[in-house]
Amino acid sequence: MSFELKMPKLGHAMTEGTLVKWHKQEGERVEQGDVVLTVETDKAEVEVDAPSAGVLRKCVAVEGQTVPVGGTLGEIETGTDAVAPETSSSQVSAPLRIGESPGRRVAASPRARRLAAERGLDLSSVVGSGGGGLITEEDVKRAAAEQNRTGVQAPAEANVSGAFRREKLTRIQSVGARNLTASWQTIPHFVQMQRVDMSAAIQARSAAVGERARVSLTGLIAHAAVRALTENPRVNASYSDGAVLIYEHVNLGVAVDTPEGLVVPVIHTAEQLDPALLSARIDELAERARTKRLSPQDLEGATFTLSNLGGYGVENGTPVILPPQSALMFTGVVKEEVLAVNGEAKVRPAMHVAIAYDHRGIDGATASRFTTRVKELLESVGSSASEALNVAKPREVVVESTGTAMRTEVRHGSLTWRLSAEDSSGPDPVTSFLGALGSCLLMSLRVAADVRNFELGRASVVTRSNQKGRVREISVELRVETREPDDKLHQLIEVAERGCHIRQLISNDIPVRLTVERT
Amino acid sequence: MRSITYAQAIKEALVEEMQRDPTVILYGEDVANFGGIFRITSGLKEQFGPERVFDTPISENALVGAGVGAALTGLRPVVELQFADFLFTAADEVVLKAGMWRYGHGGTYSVPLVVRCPSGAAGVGPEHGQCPEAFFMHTPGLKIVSPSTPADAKGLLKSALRDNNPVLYFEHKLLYATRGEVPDGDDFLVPLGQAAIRRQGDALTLVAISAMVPKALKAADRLATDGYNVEVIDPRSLVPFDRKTIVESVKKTGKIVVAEEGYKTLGIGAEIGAMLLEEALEYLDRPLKRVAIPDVPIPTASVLEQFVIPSEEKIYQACRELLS
Repeated sequence: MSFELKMPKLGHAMTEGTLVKWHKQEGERVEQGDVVLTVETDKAEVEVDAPSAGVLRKCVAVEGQTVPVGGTLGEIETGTDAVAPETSSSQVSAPLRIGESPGRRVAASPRARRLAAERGLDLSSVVGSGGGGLITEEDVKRAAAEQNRTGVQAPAEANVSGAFRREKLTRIQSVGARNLTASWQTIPHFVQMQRVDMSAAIQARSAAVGERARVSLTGLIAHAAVRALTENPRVNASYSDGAVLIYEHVNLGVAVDTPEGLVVPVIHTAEQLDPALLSARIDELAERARTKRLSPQDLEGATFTLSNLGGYGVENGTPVILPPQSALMFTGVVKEEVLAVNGEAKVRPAMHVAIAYDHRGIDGATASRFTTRVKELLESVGSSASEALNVAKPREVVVESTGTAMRTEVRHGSLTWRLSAEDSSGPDPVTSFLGALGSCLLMSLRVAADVRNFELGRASVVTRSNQKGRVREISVELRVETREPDDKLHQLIEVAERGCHIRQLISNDIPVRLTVERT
Repeated sequence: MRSITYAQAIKEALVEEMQRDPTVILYGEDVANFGGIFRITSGLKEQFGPERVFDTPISENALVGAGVGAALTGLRPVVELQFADFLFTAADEVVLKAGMWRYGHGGTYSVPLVVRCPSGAAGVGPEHGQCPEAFFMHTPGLKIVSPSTPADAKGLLKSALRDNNPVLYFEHKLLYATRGEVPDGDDFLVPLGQAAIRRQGDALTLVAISAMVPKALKAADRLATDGYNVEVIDPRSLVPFDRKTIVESVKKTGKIVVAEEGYKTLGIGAEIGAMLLEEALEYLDRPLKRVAIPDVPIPTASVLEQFVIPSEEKIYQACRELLS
């Protein structure tokens, strides 16, 4: 028995791919899971495994060939009778390489070819917009119009004097070139810049060192951007035909430099990640981008892109938006600069942030709020309680008894909260516990709502117990602002209760009476 | 102009041609006393008498065979099959006799036979719901029509009855109740072999057959609101086939979608695609798109049936893919 190896569909938008490399030769034995070939999509290179063992009977597609999704790449014969033939050099024909065939293959419709011939246009310089990159009549018309407009009658290289080397763009670069051209031509860009004092961020990074979770500067920058985006949803959006599509989640694209070109893997629902998780995820995606192990899903659906070029030593830039996004944030190198701090000149680690916006959907004031918020957040990293809570750090509560009074300190990472006032009066232990239960329930509710796309506005919780003595019952009063139906709300609350660690701690011990009120 | 149903139009054509030509006879299973399984021929036995309108036993092969014989002797029989699917039972007489005998006898005889074939999926499953036009387009000697409007139903049937060759007349079951304007007068004919342009446009050529025509027109309305003016062509007559109208349209648009209710492989769309490769290659700007039944039997369960039958949505999507 034999089956065909087909061009896999590796993403919603994928219509074709390029066979980059055969890892097995015709006639070679393959085991299940062996990498047989590598294909390249618009966005990434993906290795394709053998779904079962057998012999690679035939390499139908040649390296470099572009094949539509579902198109045959090769043939594997399976079963026990499939034996590799004795290989002698005469039997195994080396696969034809596309470079050896005369001329580059151009996918163009017959209609486009006819028009190109009429107008004397070189099709190899035309980018195809039809299915599978097919050059269509429209593309030829557009290219011809462009040629007339710019007055270029021959390919640019004909005007270049002296020796030169022609280096073909990789597929990723070609697609990038096309998208960026479209971006530059259709999006009225404006760029806003800020200089950010990175002292707090650097301190937060160092504070995290040695703890289980590492936090990188990129992770902190990403976290600030994501948070600013959730506060300024208009920036987390696409302009489309006189409307702005505002995205519910932040899917953060992170530009990564690879030998094949710029790749932008995406962290989906980034608003659910804390700086440590964001840092880890960015590292992981960058590593996979460089080793070409990104899945197409990793490259889809970005709503905002972060391009951190600090590592290359550059200070500032004017970035270009990746459509259909509305903004892109560039960050430069962190280096010491003299900043005015409280009337004094101080040498501080500073970083330039340049954010490009699509002026069709974002006005200057909206953009300014976002730009400024990014700066604020970065300069106050670590000082806000929620920031600290989001970083995985040791949790400890220190209680000290002086004999006459009690002092309670809650420590989380580098932060400390004193629960007792100067006179050592403070919440009694049960009240502290009620606070823990309330905040935990609320956090759990928020997470559950986000995961389920449940539209949840403001939510608050009041936890109460009997006023004196042993705790016999706890009542929880939940107030939520939502337009979602009752059944969905109660389902959500059930999930939130199950997901609340504190609630689970006491589930067998104390009855918890929960009431829900809509506001 | 009068507005009548597709079913009434068929009956009118039969009545007018029987009045006009005494050699026209009509028979089939339950055609006379019951008035036909779809009640097209009710009252015709009373009007024209049992010698010209009569019931037969259940044997489609015998029905068409008798029709071939009657046609050879100078009558113009109309054979009603209850379902187009039964053409397969009658295939020997349809393909090898009706289609071949004029040629086989050196032109000595002609076979002026009309076989009426109710076609189309209507909750009747794999053996009663097909549109088997393409099977018979493949074999020589037969003319084939597949009207989509009451006017064409009448005009094409009258032309078929006056033609000296065997004609398979496909009437879609779901079109019977549809209404449309039909010109007055006994002399209203629609010539065989002439396509109708149902809607003018230059963005894409959308060819639709039989019950696909109204769906295609709705899809075209949606496409117009998207800013694409598509040209909708109804071939009406499948043999002879009006290649010119389609080729001229594709020369204008460069893109073509074919919607049919037959199976995809070797279907009408396949033939149109091949024709365009032969006659209009340099004008093609996108791949051919065929909206047809995937190569599976037509399910009886309505949900599954609707899953395989080309819908307005599927036609719309196929066009959108080419128009992106």
